[in-house]
Amino acid sequence: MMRDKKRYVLVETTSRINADPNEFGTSLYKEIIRCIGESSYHKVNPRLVKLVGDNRFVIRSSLEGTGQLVLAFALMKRLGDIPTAFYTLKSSGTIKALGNG
Amino acid sequence: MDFYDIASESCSFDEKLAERLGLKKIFVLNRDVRAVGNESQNRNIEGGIAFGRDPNQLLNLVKHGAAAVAITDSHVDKKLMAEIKERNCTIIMPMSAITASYGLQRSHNIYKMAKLFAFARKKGIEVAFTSMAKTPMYLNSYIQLIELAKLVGADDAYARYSLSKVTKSIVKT
Repeated sequence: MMRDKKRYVLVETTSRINADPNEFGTSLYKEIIRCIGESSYHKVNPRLVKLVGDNRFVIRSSLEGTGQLVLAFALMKRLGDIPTAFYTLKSSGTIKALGNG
Repeated sequence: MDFYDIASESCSFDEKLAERLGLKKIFVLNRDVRAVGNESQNRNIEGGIAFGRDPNQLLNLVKHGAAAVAITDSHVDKKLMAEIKERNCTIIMPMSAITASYGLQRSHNIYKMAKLFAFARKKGIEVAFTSMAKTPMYLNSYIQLIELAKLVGADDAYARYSLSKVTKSIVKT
């Protein structure tokens, strides 16, 4: 079976990430579905990899869904009830190549 | 390739943010480039960016030397487009019209901007994709601007060209 190709995306938020990583991840996935829809969500297949500091995180997606994921972050302006902007800083095939990520 | 963006006058941000977003520079309206609107005296229009929704007003501004036009309701007026083409003006697509709206309004804006983009490219008019952000919340990284440009119909190559050469050409520094 062929392995799916993945991309890792480093994202910075304008507000501090206070929540527990599981809760944060769940809120994030809900917002992504809201932006790109259920039919595109499965192509993106996002998974939160890790939090970096107060306001950055690394998220993984499928290679073909990376564009949709980046678009979702451009369209998302809140997380739960908190107004938050998401800046996608870098995307790469490995976590190491994200540098600060 | 260096990428550029244009933000609104009210958008205040740290210069390091531009670097983190992968942008060489974020130009600011009325600081790096003039915004012209209801210039009834027709002064200081040349080289500025014309904003508005009235095609006749925009036509007047283009005839008096505006370098670029931002049609706020994304309506296609053929007479205005012909004048823009003749004078080698650029059309600006403010991405904040998409990112700052929600739901049906957002879908409506995307549809109208896509139509405007398709018409402009068919006529050979250059299009600049800029955030025109009023606050840092609506700024985007260059990767996000490229995806937003693709959302309204640009391909990857044109989106990159627009963010680098076309946006830079509007701001004469």
